[in-house]
Amino acid sequence: MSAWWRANRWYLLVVAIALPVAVVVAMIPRWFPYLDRQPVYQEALMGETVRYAGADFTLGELTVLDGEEWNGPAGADVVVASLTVDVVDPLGGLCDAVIRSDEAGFEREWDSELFPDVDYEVPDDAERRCQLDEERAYDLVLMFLVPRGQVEEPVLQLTASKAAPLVLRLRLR
Amino acid sequence: MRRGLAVPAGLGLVLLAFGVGLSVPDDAVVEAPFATTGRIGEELVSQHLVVTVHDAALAQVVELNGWEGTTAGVWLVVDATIAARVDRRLVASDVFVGAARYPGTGRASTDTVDGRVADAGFPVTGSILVELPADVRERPGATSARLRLSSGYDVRLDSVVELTLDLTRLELHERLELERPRAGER
Repeated sequence: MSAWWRANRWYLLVVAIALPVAVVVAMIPRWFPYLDRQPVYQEALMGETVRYAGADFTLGELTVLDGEEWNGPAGADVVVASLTVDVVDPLGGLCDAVIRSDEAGFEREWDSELFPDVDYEVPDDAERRCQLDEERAYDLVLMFLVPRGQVEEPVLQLTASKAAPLVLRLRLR
Repeated sequence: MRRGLAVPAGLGLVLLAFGVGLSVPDDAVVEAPFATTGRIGEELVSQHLVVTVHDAALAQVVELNGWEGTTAGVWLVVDATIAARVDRRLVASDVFVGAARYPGTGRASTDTVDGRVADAGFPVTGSILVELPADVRERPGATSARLRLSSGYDVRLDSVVELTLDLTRLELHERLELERPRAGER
């Protein structure tokens, strides 16, 4: 047997090298681009200012309001997020905002609501959409409806397509 | 000895290659959705939806929020509670009878629990309406029709909920008055 290994050692070496190379080459067209598209999370806590998508974001408030107290829709609590946004290097477009929570044992998310049916008043001078189209500073107030009693520690996630795959997550603590 | 074996072994490998080639399943099988199956009354959870079907019936005419739904066929009326599981999702319904697919109706606006979005943790209870041929109960496959609830119209390799319905055993109503979707469980 050892004679067989010795006689074929160079072929075996070529196979040992060629197989892993073939696997890596097969991954080039799909697998590596897929990995490149996976989100990369940039995190900041309330009060911290963080540069994302050409703007400085500071989370000032992230509160869960009792939905019944604020006359929200049945079965809903209201999450209010207040931020200051200073667009320094406008990349253009909007950024998408969602609230995320893993308190159910897995991650869930809820989209922002522009005009939810609740009594909470957004100040007139505050924006309701995250906009990155021009150089300016503004207050941003976002509202979300979440299932009643199921979200206590929300995480605000902002996604700007121009900054992909970078995603910003803002937490209370 | 070795040379004598080479020809039959080569032919055998060629035949094996043909066999493998012919036994490869078609796209419909390779890309079939992953279904969570169950029965009426069970809570069925797919990757995207949490579904409980409470009841099913057939009707010739349905009334829903002032709309009178008539059909040349027959309505399959399904009473269900649906919520999204992880994030906001469209709810789409289809019924398969044999090889035929019948999608949930778009005629009832957003007054059904399908054809609209569902949010995670917000169950909505209401009806699903599907128009079926008038003679559907006599058609092959009527005893094992499949109701599929998915989160979109392209379900390839996606996660869906499926229930088997025996259409021949469902009660046929002349007219059914239905309620608009409402928040919460039944």
